Amino acid sequence: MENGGYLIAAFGAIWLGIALYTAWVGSQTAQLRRDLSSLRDLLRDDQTTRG
Amino acid sequence: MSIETQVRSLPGEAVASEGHAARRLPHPGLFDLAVALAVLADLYAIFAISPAERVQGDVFRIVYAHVPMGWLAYVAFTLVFGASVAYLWKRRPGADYLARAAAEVGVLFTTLLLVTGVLYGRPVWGVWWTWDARLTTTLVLWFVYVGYLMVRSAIADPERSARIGAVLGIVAFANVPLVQLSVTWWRTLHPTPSVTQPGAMGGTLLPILLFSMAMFSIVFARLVVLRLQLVRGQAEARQLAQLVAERTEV
Repeated sequence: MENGGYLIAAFGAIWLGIALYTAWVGSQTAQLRRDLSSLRDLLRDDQTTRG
Repeated sequence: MSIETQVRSLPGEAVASEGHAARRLPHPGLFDLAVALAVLADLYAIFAISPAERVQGDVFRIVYAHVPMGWLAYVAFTLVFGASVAYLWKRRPGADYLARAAAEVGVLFTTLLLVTGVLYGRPVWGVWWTWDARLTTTLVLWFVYVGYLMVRSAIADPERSARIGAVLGIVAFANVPLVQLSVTWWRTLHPTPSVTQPGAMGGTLLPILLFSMAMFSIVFARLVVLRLQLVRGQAEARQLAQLVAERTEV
């Protein structure tokens, strides 16, 4: 394939870029899930203490 | 008012009940599988069905990814513009979340547009980069929206960030028509759009390009939705954390 290196680099860059961005959003989402879970635990503890 | 009632009254009701926000957060599903299949079909069309171009050879296939990147960058920044206008008009946080999510995905696609352009330019023009009007305006576009994201991140107050972001989102949009018209306003190395020129893309070229555009549009939409859900969830978690802090101080 003529100039195959440029072709592979271009498509590789696109899918690597999209995959890295998706992975970053996924890691942020996982962190958010943990934060929400902690906040819910705090709420529950607060309710129990007041109850 | 009990803390549960206060939490229920939060905007968006995402943190209202046990697991509600977590359920709204994205999970890979059938749609993602369909996207993956569409990507494979597109790659098959680009590499197996499309013939090599007569003059440029196989490297021409980069166009099937480069053109959709440019098109979707425009779509992203048009979304930022529309959402910014909507935010200033109605002051709905949802519009601001959309602007932020679309700007980020737009910067990603503009980055990929520039990278694929460089990799296409080297074998076709003989240079990695030239200060041609289209390339230069696209680079300026990239810097402007990276700046938009940096300003948004630097302002801690969400309402102020949204307000200033909306103004920036409207002003920054002036770059989009400038990039598009740069090839007709100035003499450039970059070609003028050939998709709309009759006969410029014969045979399987146009159908495969359109298919590729549709496929990348689906990927783009999926990324914007994922980021939108995350921005919304983060905003709601911030509000909930504030509420918890207030309650525990009492």
